[in-house]
Amino acid sequence: MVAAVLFLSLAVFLILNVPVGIAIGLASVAAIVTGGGLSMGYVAQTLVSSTDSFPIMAIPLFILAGDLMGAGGVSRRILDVANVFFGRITGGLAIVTVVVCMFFAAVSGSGPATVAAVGSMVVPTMLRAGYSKSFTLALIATAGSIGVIIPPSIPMVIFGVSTGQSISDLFLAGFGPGLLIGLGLITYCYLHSKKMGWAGDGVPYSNSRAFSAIWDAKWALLNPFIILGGIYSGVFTPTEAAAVAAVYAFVCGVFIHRELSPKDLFKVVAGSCSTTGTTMVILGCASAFARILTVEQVPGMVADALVQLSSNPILILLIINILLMLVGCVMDTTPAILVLAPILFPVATAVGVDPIHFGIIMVVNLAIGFITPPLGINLFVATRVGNASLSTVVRGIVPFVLVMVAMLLMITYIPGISLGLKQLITN
Amino acid sequence: MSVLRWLDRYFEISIGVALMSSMTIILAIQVFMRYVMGASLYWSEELARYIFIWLIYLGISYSARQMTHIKVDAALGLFPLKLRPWVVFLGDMLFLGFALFIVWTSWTVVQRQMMLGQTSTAMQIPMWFVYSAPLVGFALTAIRQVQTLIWRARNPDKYISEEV
Repeated sequence: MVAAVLFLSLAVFLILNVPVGIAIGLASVAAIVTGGGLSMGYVAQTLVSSTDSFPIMAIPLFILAGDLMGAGGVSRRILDVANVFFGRITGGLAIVTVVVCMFFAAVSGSGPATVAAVGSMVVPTMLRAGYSKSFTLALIATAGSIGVIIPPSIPMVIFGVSTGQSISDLFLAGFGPGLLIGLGLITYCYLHSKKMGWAGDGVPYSNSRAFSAIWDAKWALLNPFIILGGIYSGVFTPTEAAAVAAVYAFVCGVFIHRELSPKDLFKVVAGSCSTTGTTMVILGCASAFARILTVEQVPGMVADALVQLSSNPILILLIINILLMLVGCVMDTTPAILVLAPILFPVATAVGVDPIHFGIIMVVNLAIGFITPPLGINLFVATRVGNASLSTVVRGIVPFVLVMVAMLLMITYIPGISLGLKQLITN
Repeated sequence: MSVLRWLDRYFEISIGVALMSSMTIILAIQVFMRYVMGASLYWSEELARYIFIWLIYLGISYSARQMTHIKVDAALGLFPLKLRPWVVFLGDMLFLGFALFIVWTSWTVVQRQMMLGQTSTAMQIPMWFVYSAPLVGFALTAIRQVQTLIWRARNPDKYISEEV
């Protein structure tokens, strides 16, 4: 009964154009009022207690680091490097876009931030080179979703906190899937560009050109090694890594590249504050929502029903994938993880899926949710970057979603893609 | 620029930027002290965490002013064109209602904390101060929502979220 109030009122509030976090909060209040088991102050209290967490603090810091990096001239330098190596092939600029997104993913933990930082730079160039607008914007929206798969990753932080798994292990397991998706997108870009006749820039490769591009980008290229090297050598925690990354990006942008004026800086940090507010209100309210679900024993009931349906892990994973993809279409990543991880996690582990592997499956699914309408945040960012209508982007997105789904199935059924790296290191 | 105008534009965000910067710097110092100087700080993590909590609630209010909270805008397509401004207006009213509800309930939470007199482990900060963040943040958000509603009533044709 309370669960029905929770989900129905949530749907109504979302349809009535209430912001996502607030709608989740209102639904929780409605459930408390009808259920009567919890005190009225419960939501207010959870807003503080759920964010009073050191691991969660990695989120605003990775947002800040990504924003500073995007504004501080890092993306352009990486683009120049990628261009030297891939620019001359058929579909060169499209491939360069994917490579730059993969690199940016290794310093940023957010999908939309990756789209914004890389997109604002490559989209005008691609359009000038003759790529179609719907292909270009769909590509940048999709490639940006790698931002949450290659570590660091904000959704992985949320998954780790809500299920008690190691965030470092999750990060480590993200490399393989991130590379795989990157390769998949590059392959598609090459084949499609060949069909459409989108040639490369024709500039021949030379060692001196490569060297000067790499030298100009040396500080930017060093960044992921500092962040990830620091985490895995045990020098700092993921949260501290995020703070160090932000300071590093600040120093690069202001003192080394000299592309950030004090006025820009205020704007960038203000933007990060706004993103932090909009993300964290969702996190706080969704935590209250998820705890009410737990009090009502919904996770247990769903788990029982699913396990009774089948105990075949292949089938269960397929069902979970379909469910997550449908949810990803209408729900943002953070609430989806907070609400669904406690429900689906016991099911997956019951049929023998590795907890870390399951985290990766969930994150990749919700990364697809970034590019599926109606609520695909990367699509929105891409429309803003490209100054286009949503339908222009959506027209080009279908083949990309299919590529992503193919990669998702491989990641789901070949655990080695996610877990291999950890095994390799521990041996 | 008049004082009110400045407050309208910059009040939350100037504090927010200061909090975001100090949170980052405190954690960077924490790493430096532990790794380079070999002396761990006992207060830095806790301070950064409480700064973060305050940052969130000022950020929520700032985002309400900028109208950048994430919405399922596509759902508006379910309504006939004439009704849409009313739906958006109703959505903003509900947002205002939630903000006031949080102000009211977190006031009781803060009062309870004041009575218990709890303090934080490392720095002995009174916990009611930490729990006041949603109270203050959502009070500001409520003001921002009233501003939004007035703006909407004056511009009924601009129902899709835009920056003011």
